[in-house]
Amino acid sequence: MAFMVSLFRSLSALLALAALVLALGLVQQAQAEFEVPVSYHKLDNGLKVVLSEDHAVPTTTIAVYYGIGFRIEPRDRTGFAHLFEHMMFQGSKNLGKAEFIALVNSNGGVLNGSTRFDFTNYFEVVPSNKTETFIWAEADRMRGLDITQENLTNQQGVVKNEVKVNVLNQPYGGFPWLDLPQLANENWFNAHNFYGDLEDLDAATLEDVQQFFNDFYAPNNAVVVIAGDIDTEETLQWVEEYFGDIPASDNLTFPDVSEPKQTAQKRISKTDNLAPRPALAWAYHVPERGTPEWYAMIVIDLMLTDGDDSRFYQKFVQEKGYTGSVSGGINWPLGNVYNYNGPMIYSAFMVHDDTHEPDTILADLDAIVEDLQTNTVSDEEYARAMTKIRSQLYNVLGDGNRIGLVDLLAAFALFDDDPGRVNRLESEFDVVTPKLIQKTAQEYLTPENRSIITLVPGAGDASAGE
Amino acid sequence: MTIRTLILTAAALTAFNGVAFADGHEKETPPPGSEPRGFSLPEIETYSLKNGVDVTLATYGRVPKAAIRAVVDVGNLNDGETPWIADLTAEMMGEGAAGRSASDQALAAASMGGDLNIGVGLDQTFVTMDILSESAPDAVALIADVVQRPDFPETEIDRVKQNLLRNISVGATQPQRIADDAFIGSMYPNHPYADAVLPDAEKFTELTLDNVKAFHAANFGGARTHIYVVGQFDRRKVKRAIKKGFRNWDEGPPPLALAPETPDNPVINLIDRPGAVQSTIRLGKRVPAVDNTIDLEAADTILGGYFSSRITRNIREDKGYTYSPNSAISLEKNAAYWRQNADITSESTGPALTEIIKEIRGLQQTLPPANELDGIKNYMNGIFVIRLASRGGMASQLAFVDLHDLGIEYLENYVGAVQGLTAQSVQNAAREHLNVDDMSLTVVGDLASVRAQLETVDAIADRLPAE
Repeated sequence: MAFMVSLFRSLSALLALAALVLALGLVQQAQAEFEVPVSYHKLDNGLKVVLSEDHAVPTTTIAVYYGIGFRIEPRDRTGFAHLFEHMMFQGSKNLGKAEFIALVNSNGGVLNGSTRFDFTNYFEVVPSNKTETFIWAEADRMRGLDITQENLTNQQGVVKNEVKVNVLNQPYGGFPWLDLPQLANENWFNAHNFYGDLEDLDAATLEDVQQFFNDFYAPNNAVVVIAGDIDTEETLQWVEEYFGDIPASDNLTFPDVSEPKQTAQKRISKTDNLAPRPALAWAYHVPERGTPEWYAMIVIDLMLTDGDDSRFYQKFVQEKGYTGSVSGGINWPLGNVYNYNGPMIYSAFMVHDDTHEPDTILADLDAIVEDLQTNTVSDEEYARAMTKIRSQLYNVLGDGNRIGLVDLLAAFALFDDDPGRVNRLESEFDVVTPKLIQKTAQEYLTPENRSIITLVPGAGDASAGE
Repeated sequence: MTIRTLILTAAALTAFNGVAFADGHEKETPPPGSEPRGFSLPEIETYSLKNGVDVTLATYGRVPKAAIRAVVDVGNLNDGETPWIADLTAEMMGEGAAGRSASDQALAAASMGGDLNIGVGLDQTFVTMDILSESAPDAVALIADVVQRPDFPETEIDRVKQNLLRNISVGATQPQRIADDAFIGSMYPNHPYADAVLPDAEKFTELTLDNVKAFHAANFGGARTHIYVVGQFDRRKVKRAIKKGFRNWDEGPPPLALAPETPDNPVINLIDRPGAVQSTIRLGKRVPAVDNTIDLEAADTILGGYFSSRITRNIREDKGYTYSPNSAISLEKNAAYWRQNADITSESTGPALTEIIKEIRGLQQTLPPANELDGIKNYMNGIFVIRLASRGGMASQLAFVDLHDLGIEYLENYVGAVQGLTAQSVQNAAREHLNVDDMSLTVVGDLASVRAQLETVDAIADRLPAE
């Protein structure tokens, strides 16, 4: 399913990084063989700064992550955090509408922004000799916006078109990535439509934009990450020069986003008038971030969902032929296991044929889970999960465009005040044992902790092709 | 072998020098940055086995991983009268080889740190793995089995066909896929490419395992195969694994030469999707393939090829008609076409098309200004480096160069070619190759409301098919 909006194509994909940064963690050998340089600083105004110098490719990836995601937006303004993200490209003091984007492109760079559960990010990959130029440009828009009603109206039109192309005019649009959080969660902040209702998008005002900026877009709620072909000392001086005098906010407040424990299975059916075949999705709440059970759940995800050797693929695709692929993961598809900070679900999804009842498929899911709860995993299966962690981590740390690396560093700085974690994930996974995997499966992969959506096709089978 | 260093000469940034505010105070000018730095292509080693298998090796990247690709010149081009036989064959190649079952293959691949992936394009089949360095020789051996010795088990054919039929069924409800299917049909009529996006499901259903076996036997062989290994790996062991895995294979046939004819007339395709909230459009025409196309690439970039493009600024950033409009040149082995894509709010379909056409004609009528030309030169050079920055990107570019017989010089000379662009050469390309009156158009949308809008669009109105 093409939920992705391509990275270098457009601003503001909610989803832009999902495919680049999949579930990852780390095991023994990785750190010994490859270590990422991490230089971490905090300016007097509270701005966190992470620099990672490498000279493999003569580009620099510059990112600003603000600690405000789509969980937290005004109740009568669903989709506002994402709409606001668009407004950050509409003009600041020294760069008018379209000029930020033109500055990046005309210097040979690409850019994007995206809105996630717990942050909104803005980043560009530029030729490294232009590093200072874009530190200046990012600081300029952190200092304040300079936009008009015309700009806002324009981007309301763009965002409504984004929702149409990705959700309203698409079979399986929004399924299950917008639907599952709304079913599984109880707290409004976790359980509303993050893309937004069209009426709510239309209702947004310039005052809303300014208020949101004042509330959340401050240096003490942000991290600047600069990775690539830089001189660390010189770059830190530029960051201090351009960001150093932006005033901190003294009234940052965040609502309670905690989620009550689920006590009974939830199950709904959804009719999709554009879809030709049924689909099935489910989600479990995951253990709290950073707990031993949470690490175990990451390993469980890798064993059940990740790759053609996974239990889901082997059962649902290879053996039973329900579908051609099963997608899913923790914080999927809007992010990865590390770049969120609050309640989260572990989802999975397939399109199947009407020759198979959802309950038949769910019975197989139950059998897979029961096996995990009853028997400890084999050494080989555990080793394969660890190998995946290592291999996928290398992809993130070693990619020449450094977008996944910047994302990890930003998430660890924002949520843990500790970007150096990127080099210590190894020891963190030491807490996972076959016994802990079994115990975590027993506690979390239960019907009481699960939400299920069956999608009923309303389009009739358009299998006639052309 | 030499280390090749390309210097990205940045054109002067002229767009942002001190713009005056209405109230008189000057905007700050962005700091200009320093001198551009060089980018080096890695050492590239190329050789061939006696049966015609070509090999390209490049040590690249910072981490202990390797991308391994066997690229075979067999694609939808070779489908003949049986659309997607290439896709079905590729899928069945993933169902076990040399006596090892699909499940065992999947376990083996995962133990190496990656999946086995098999994909089909219009011209080529790709069998790829991205794995940990120490597993590179084992991955080569696994790929060698899959490419040459698939088991094609009878037990899996029905299930695999159902998966592809499900894909066709879902695709036939996706507006973008419907539009791509209709548009490629107008670009490459009477050619297998035309059926590659959405094949006829009934025809596909008739394919059998015997068809698959025969297709593989007739089309796969050493002369059509190129192996790429890019990343960190033990070169001696990998070369030995390639020799052991591939040397006993038959040479097989040379690549099929089957260039699509040039269509007689542009086609307007209106496809009704009652109630659709957006119109999905494709507007474009055939253009020359590869040779001397840098000017056309630049014209494409200016029009719709990047975020700052004229069409994007107009119909997105000014009018808000659409979210992600874009243009591109689709390049096949011996043919190419240019098209502008967009998903437009239904009631704005006519106005958006009018603006797109206005922008195309604008470039033909007025020379692009110097600062815009400098900007796209920088952009084209910048994106060139960004594309090459990962081992997967590097492998893709090396394969691209080989498919189109460009030689490694293409990569070495790209930056220089971009620097040689002039306003006149870019405009000439737009004039010569992007004549709106010769363009085909596909619209997938709510025709009850959209058709009347199209009757107001210059260059389209008088070519609309009868209702």
